[in-house]
Amino acid sequence: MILHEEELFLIMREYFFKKFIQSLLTIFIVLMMNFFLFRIMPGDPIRILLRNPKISPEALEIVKEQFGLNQNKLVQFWIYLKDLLSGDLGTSFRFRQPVLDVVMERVPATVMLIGTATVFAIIVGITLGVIFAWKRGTKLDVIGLSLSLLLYSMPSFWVAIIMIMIFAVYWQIFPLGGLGAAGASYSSYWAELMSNIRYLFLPAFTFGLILIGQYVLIMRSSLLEVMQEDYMLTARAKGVSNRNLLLRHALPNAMLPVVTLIAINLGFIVGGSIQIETVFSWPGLGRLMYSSLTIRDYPVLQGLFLFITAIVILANFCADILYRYLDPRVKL
Amino acid sequence: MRKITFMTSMLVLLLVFSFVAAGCGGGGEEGVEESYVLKIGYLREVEGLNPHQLNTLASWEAAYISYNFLITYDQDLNYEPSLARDWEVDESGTVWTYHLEEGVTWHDSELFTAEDVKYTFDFLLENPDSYLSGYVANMVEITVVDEYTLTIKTAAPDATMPYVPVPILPEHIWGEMDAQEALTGFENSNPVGTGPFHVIEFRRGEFIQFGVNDNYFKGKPGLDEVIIIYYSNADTMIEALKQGEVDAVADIPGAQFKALADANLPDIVTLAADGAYFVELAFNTLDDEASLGNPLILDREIRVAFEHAIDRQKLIDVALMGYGDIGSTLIPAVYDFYHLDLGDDLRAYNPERSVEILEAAGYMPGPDGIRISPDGKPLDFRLFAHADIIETQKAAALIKEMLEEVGIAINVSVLDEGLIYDHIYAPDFDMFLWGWPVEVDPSYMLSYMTTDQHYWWNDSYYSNPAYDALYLEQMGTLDRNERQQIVHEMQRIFYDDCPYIIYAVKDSLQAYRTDKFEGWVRSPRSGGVIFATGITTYEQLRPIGR
Repeated sequence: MILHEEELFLIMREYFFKKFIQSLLTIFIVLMMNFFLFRIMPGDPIRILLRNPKISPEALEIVKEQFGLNQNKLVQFWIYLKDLLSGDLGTSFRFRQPVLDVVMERVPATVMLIGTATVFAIIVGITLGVIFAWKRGTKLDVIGLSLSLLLYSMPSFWVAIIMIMIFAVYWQIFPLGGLGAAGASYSSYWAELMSNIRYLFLPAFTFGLILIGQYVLIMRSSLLEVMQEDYMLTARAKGVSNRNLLLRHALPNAMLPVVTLIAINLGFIVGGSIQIETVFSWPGLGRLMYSSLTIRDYPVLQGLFLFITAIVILANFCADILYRYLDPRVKL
Repeated sequence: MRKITFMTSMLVLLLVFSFVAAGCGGGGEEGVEESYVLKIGYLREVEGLNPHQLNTLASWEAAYISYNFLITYDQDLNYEPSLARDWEVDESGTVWTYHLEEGVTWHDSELFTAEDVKYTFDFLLENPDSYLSGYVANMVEITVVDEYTLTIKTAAPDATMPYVPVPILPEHIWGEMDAQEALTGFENSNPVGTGPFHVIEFRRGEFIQFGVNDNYFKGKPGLDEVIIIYYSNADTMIEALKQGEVDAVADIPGAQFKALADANLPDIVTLAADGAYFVELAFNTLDDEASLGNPLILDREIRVAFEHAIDRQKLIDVALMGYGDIGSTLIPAVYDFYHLDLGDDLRAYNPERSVEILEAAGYMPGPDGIRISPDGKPLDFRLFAHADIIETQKAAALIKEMLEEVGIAINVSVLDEGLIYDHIYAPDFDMFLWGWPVEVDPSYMLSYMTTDQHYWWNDSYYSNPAYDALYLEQMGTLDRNERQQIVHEMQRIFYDDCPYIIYAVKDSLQAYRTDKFEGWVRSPRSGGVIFATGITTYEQLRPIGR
C-alpha cells in the first residue's frame, strides 16, 4: 500500500500526539512515585541537615516551616506540582540553592565524561562487533569475544583504580582526577583545552572500556542472526559483493537491538556513574545523587530523577523514530 | 550508507587523535603555576560560603581564613587577641567590654568598626535559625561605646565569654539584605571579611581558591594563594600529595595514613595529631515508658560489666588501625586543663571482673550460655553501627565478640545516619556506636548530656540532677581554676553513671610536604597543622628561604 503524503502526515501527527500524552503520563507517575517514595523512606532530613549541636529546637521548627515540611504530605505534593509547573524545582536542603542551579551546575561535567565515553564505546564497540561477526570462528573472533566478556564483567571501580595506577601513578602521563587543574591559569585557549582533555581522558577512556563489551557482544550476535536469514543467501546468490552484503543488507537490520541499547544507555549519561565519578573525583550527577541520598535531600533527588526520566523518555522516542528509518516494517 | 561509513571513520579518527594528543601532552602544559600556592587536599566538600549555614568542617575552615573572630586561641589554648585587642569584665561578671583593633579594613577596603560586631551579634539574636546563633544565646544587649569599643551584656555570668566563635560580618554588606535573604538565599560567593585570605573562585564539588589579603591586620601572610581541593577518593588524594600536586592533606583514613607513614618518604611529614573527636558506645538510659529499648540496660551494673568486658586497646588497634588514645571522660586529653584523668579509676579490660559483677547482680548463665536476669529475661541487646563510619562497624563486630565472652548476646545492625536518628528519637534502641567532636570550651560538650537536652542532643537520655546543677554552676563560674574543679566533678559523675563507654579518642591524621613551605604550626601544641583550633599555619607559612 502506498500512502499519500497527506495520509502519512496525519498518521505521524496522531502518533506524536499519542506518544506525547503517554510521555506526560509516565512523567507524572514517576513524579508521584519519587515524591512519596522518598518521604516514606525513613530518616528525617532536617535532623541530618542540622547536625549542629548549637541549633536550638526552635530553629528546627523554623527550618521545617521554610521547607514546608510541617504540612500534610498531600499538601506538600500539591505545592510541589504547582511550583513545578512554573519551573521551580524546589530548594536543596543541603545547599540552600534552587535545585535547578544545583543540578545544572553538574550537567556539563557529566555529559562531557559519560557522553565522550558512550560515543567512544558505540563507535569502537559496533565496529569491533561487526568485524568479529564477519570473521566468526577465527582466532580474532575468539580473542575479541573473550576480551569483550572480560571487559563487560569487570567492576568499574576496579578498572578505574587499575587505570589510575598505570597511567597516573606509574607512568604519570595523566592527572589523578578532578575536572581540571585547580586554580591554574593558562597562557592560551589551546593550552587550557589540552589540559582539560588530559583530565577528561582517563575517566572517559575507562568508562568507555567498560561500556564497549556490551556493544561488541550485542552487535556481534545480532549480526550473526541476520546473516543466517534467507534473504542474505538470496542476495549472495544474486552476486552482491561482500561489502554491500554487509553494509546494505545485514547491518541495517542488525542495528535494531543496538539502537535499543543506546537508548537505554542514554539514561546513564544524565545519571552519571557514581563509581567512576567517585574514583576520579569528578564532580558529576552520579556523585550528587549519592550524596543527596545519604542526607535525604529530597528536592535534589526529585529533580535528578525527573531529569533522568525526561531524558530516558526522549531517548526512547528517538529510538522509535530511528527504528522506522532502519526498518520500514516497524509500524509507528 | 557510504556517507555514514565515512563519517564514522572520521569520528573514530578524531577521537583517536584527541586521545593521542591528550596523551602526548605530558606534564608540561599544566598552565602557568603560581609559585607560592598552598594546595590542600580534603575528602569533604565545601558546601557553601554563607556563614549562617556552616555545617561541615571544610566550610568552617574556609570561613576561618576569610573572616576573624574577636578572640582566638593560641597554641596553649589561652585567649589571644584578634579583632579585639583587649577586653575586660565588670564586677558583676555580666558586662564585657571589648577594645577593638583600629584601622582594620574589610577585603573591599571599607573600615571595620564596632558597628559591624554589633550588627553580627544582633542579627544572630534576632534570627535563632542561623547555625551560629547558639554561640550568642546568653547575650542580652550589645552596645557600641565608640567606634572601637563595645560592651556585651549577658543574662548571667557566662564562663564561655569573652570568646565568641562567630565570624564577624561586615554590616555594609549584610545589613542591606532582609533577614531571610541573609540566612538562606545569599550565596556569599565572594565573602568580604577581614581574614588573611579572600575567595577568588569557588567551584562546588571541585575546589575553593583564595588569594592573599595584602592588608591583613596581623601582617601579610607569606603565601600568595590557598586552594582547598576536594577529593572523593582517599588513595588518589594521598598519591597527589606524593606527586606534589597538593602540599597538605587532612582527615586521612587510617589505612592510607599507615601506608604513607610506613613508606617514610623524604619530603613528607605524617602527623598523627591528638584529636578532639571521641567515639563511644552509647546506652539508652531513658527510664520512662516512652522508651522502646531493652529495660535491662537501665541497670548500671550491666553497663559497668560491659565496660570491664571491653578491651579498648584492641578496639583502637583494629578499628582505628592504632590511631587513637584510650578514651574515658567527656573532655578529651588534648584539652588538658579541663580533662579529668581517671588514672586507676578507669574501668579497665578485665573479663573476670565483668563476670563477677554480673553474677553478683544475679545474672546467671542460661542453657545456651546467654545470661538470664533474675526474672528470666535473657541478656540480649541490639547494637547499631553507623553505615558511613566504617570504624564503628569494625568496632561493633569486636564488641559483639567481647561481650559474648561474658555471656551477653548482641545483635549488630548497620544503619545509615537517617535511620539511626529515627531510632534515637523514637527512642527505640539499646546501644549504638557514634562519636562527638569536642570544642575547646567544655561547656558545649557538657551541655549535651543535661536533662534539658532529652529528645535533642542527649542521645543516651542521660539524666542526673546533680550533673545538671553543676552544669549551671560551671557556666556561672568565671574563675578558671574553680571552674576546672566543677568540670572535673561533672566528668566524674558522668563516668560513674556510665551512660556512655567512651572507648577511644581518635587521632587527627594529617600529612604535609616540607620541600616547598616552612612554618607549619600545630594548634594546639599536640594538634594538627590545618583544620585545627587556630589558623596560625595559614598566617605564618612561607616559601622556603623567602
